[in-house]
Amino acid sequence: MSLVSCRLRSCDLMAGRTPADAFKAFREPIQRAVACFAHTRVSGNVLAPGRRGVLTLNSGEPLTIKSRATTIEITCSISYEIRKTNLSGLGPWKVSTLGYIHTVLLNGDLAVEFHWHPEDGSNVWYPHVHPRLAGPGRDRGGMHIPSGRVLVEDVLIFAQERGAIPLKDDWEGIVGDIKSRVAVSASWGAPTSMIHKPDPGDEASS
Amino acid sequence: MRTGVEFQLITDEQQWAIFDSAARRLLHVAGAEFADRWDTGEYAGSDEPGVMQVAILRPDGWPHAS
Repeated sequence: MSLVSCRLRSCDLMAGRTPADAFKAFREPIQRAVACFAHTRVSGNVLAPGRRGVLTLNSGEPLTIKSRATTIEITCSISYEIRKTNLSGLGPWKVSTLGYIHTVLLNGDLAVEFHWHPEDGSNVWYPHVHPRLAGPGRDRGGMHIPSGRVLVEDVLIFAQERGAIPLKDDWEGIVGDIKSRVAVSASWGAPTSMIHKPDPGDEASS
Repeated sequence: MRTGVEFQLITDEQQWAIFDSAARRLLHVAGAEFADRWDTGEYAGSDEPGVMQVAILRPDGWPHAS
C-alpha cells in the first residue's frame, strides 16, 4: 500500500457566498469520494436555508461497489440544513449536518450501520455504530458503540477494507485529502475525522 | 466541476418517493404508514434495522396535513 500524506488547506469546505454555493461545496467532496468506487447519483431536495434537507446516494437504494469475492453494497444518507455563519472569512452560508445514517451490506447481509440521529429525541444522541453481524438484540447488533463522526469517506474506506476495488489508483489521496479538509472546516468531530498516513521519512510522533 | 458521480436536485415529491420505496423495501410498510407510526411514537427507541435508515429519508414536513 502506497504511503501518502494529507495536505491541510485553509479554504473552507462547506461554506459559500450563496446557499447554492455552500451546498455545492458540501456535496462535491462526497461526489468525488464516491466516484473513486462507483458511478451513481447523489440527490438533494433542499437548497433554501432554514429547511431540513436530505442528501442521499443512489436514490436511497443500496449502491453496489465493485469488489473481489464479497458483494458489497452501501447506503449513505445525510440530513442537512443551510445556515448563515458569523465566522470570519467564511460563507456567509454554510451547510450543517443534522444527522446521518450509513449502512454496509456484505453478500446481501446488513453488516454494520453508522448512525447519528440527535433529532429524534432519543437518549442515543452521540454518533454510534451498530454491528449487525453480531446478531439481534440490544446487547448484540442493536448495541450503540460510540464512534465519533463517520463520514461517507469512512464508509468507503471500510468497504475497501472488506474487498471493494477502487476505480481510481489515487483513491487514498483523494479520500484522505477530503477527510483532512473536513477536519479543518467541520464544527465538530474534527480530531476523529483526520487521517494521516505518514511518509517513510516522517519522524515518529507520540 | 466534472466528477464521476452526478448531482440531481430533486423535489420533495421525489424525496417522498425515495422514502416510500425504502420503507416498503426495508420494513414492508408504505411510507405514509411509517410516517404515521413514527409520529405517534411507535418507533421510539427502536433498534430495528432499517427504521432510522427510512426515517432520515422522509422529507421535512411530509406528509402535508390534509
